Amino acid sequence: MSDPTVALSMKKVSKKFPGTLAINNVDFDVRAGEVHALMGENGAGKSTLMKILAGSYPDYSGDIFIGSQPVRLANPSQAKAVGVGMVYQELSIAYNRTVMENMFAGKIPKKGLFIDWEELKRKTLASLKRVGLHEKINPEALMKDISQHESQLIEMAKVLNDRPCIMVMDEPTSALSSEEVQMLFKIIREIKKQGVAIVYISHHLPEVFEVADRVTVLRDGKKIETREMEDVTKEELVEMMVGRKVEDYLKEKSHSFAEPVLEVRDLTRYGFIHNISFTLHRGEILGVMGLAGSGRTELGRCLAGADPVDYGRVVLGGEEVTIRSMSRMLDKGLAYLSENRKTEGLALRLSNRENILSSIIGRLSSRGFYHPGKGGGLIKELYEKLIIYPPDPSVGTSNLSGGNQQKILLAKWLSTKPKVLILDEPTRGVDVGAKKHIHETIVKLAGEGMSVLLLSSDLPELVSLSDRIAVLKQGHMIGELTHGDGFDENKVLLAANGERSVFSVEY
Amino acid sequence: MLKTRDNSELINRINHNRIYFFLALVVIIMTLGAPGFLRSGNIAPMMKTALLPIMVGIGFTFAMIAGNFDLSVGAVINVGAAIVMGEFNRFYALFGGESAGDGAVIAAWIIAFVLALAAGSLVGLANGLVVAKGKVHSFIVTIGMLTAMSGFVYTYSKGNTISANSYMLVDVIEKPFLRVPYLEIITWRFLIVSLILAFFEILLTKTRWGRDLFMVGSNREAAWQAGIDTDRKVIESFVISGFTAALGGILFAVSMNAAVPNYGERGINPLMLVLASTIIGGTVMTGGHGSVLKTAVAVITIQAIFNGLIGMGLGFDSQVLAAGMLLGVVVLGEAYALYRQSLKRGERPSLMKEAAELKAARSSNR
Repeated sequence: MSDPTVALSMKKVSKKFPGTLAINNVDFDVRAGEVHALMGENGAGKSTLMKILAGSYPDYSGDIFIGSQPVRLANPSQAKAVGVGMVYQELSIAYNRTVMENMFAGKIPKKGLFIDWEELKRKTLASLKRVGLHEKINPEALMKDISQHESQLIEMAKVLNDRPCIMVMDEPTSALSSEEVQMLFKIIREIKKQGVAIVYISHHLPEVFEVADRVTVLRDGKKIETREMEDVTKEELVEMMVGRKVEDYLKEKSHSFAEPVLEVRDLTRYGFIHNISFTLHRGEILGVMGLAGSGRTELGRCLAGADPVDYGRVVLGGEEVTIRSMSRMLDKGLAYLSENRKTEGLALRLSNRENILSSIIGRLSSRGFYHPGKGGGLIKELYEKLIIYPPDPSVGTSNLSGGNQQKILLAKWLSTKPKVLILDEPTRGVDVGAKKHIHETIVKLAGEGMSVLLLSSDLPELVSLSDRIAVLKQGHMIGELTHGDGFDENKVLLAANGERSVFSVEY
Repeated sequence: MLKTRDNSELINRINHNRIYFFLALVVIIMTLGAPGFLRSGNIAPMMKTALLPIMVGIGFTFAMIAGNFDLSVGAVINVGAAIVMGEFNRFYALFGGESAGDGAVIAAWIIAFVLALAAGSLVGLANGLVVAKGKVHSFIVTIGMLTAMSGFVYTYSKGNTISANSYMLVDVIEKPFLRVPYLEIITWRFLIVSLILAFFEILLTKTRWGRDLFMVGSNREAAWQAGIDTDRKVIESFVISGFTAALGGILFAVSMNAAVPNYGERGINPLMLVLASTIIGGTVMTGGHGSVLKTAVAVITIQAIFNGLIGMGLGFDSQVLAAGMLLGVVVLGEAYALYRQSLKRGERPSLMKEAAELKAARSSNR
């Protein structure tokens, strides 16, 4: 308690969301001048814990001390005032404005009535120097012309302007190349020397080992352990994150799959995914694992025709197809369930019936007139299959729980009767019960002969559903784990971190 | 790599200043195609017509930079015009009319100006409050205000054209200082508009207030996080819009010595002209970028097109068509640029080198 080097300590902090205890009695402390890694699977509570620190959730319980001062963080500006600086993954950038205006928004220096441009430029350069960009970036350049990597550093410099005593970085390397990561680490070490306490959220094990001094692992909203980095091994960390919750493999047995349905060769969208090749068989569930920024969603979107494809050959059901548009791919029997149901998947103001049938309006129409009545039987069938609650398709989709909304989204794509179904994070933000139903439905569908490409960062989900797991890293498919060889969450996580020894097949 | 960056910077710069190229192009074409286009006798009335939309365009641009549309300006012009005329007559009569001498005229005009400007600013304040605090889309708020204010003007003027009962100010405000070719465009009205334009351009580009407004329009969340009072900025931008629209209407009415209640309902609507000019002048429709000076240059450009088309012997219909097509081209270009930009979002810089190699290898294989 009286340790003078402790910059931040959180004591018995909890945060409830409707239905779940997102943070459960967590103690967490960070020393001045250390990099403290915060790790855990998706949904473990890392981001929630840090949002409490940022003042975004005023209704937490427990105590927070900055230095030895007790504080109550009720809003973001309060958190800022006590010295908490957040470098967000989603950068808050005004793209139309210049670098210097972005960095000093709201506090642009004045000389009399007018702006002191010289002073602004000087201050910007001084601030950029702290992140090593003062010779590379013109303060007068527009933010939209700045690369993502440099934007990230500029965002850091902006946060450092406020002289924070605690700086939180959420997955700062997800969009960076390895050289850029090294540059970032150099800067982090500099900042550390100045006595700033840094919380570093990441999934990337090698990075954490390289940059962090201590690590705290969260799982299911609880703190598992805080350890010195020197005393912990990669395997131990993975085990702490994953735990021993061995979920039963949901599929009865691994068949040998013979009939290829989707063959992809050298699929490329320059700058996003390069030379992706794989084969998906009838009735198979192929999991695709990759950390943030690996190109997982991009792969799904390219195959579905949502994003342009620059190069590559795709054979679907024995027929070579050119990917041109989503509707064309739907006609060929490939459906894509997008990652974000609220912005991309569902029209929340429409009814469930309208949402489910929205993907087959063309098929239910004749001579230009739409006959939604024809879809009645299909809706009944899907409602029974997915156990959607409430069992009334005329209810507005916005009134449903997250889990049932996700089922509606799944029903929407199943109504097209696809040969290949691409699922992008099919159970994100979904309660346990709905998750189970969705998982069982996926397995059942595969048993009936549908092929599934499962893009997910949820390790238990990947492990319990997939027949094979392909691993993406930095836009490339680097290898594959087959169920026959036995895979578990530890192996998958190690594989996604580029640990090549665990692969069954290496590319 | 470096070279493409330089190129795109050049293209950026040209695009930023496109309105000047447009104007030059229009002037060249019209000079060649329409005889007498460059004569002072043609330029002077053309500039005179441009003064109203230039003034209204100032506030309209401010509102759009903050990320909003202020469609109510179409009616606020008439509010300013009607009130300044009506209130002048009321106070002139109160002060004794013709028998009271010049002092009464001046006092009545000052009171009328203040009241009309206050009315315009008040409309802007109402717009701003509903948009900023009520979180209603500006389109809906200001189109409602447009209708309400048209109603107000009809009620106020009882549907009649109002003329001032004194010619003193008209004689002053519209008289050129010098009867010299080209310099004859300089009148009091011209000077007032120019000064106000300069004032607001400086406010926008050279003060913290202006830079903060850009920030609010560009990314409201980021501006808010940086401690800028975003609601207040939006409200202020609407007040400015109401103020300049009213002032535009006031000066126009005074120069004609007539406030017509339905001005703009037939012919080329000043609202449409201002909207087209603001967008063609480079103000981004979603906010965060723009310039009142460029809006003014765009107004002049469009007026030059109208004028030149008449000089070529084409009618009113072609004027409207030309303005619409110009706007269409600019909006399409803008949308395409946004689309190109959105495609690149999320691109991994670490893959770009490899992407270039792959591209090269593949194109040589073909």
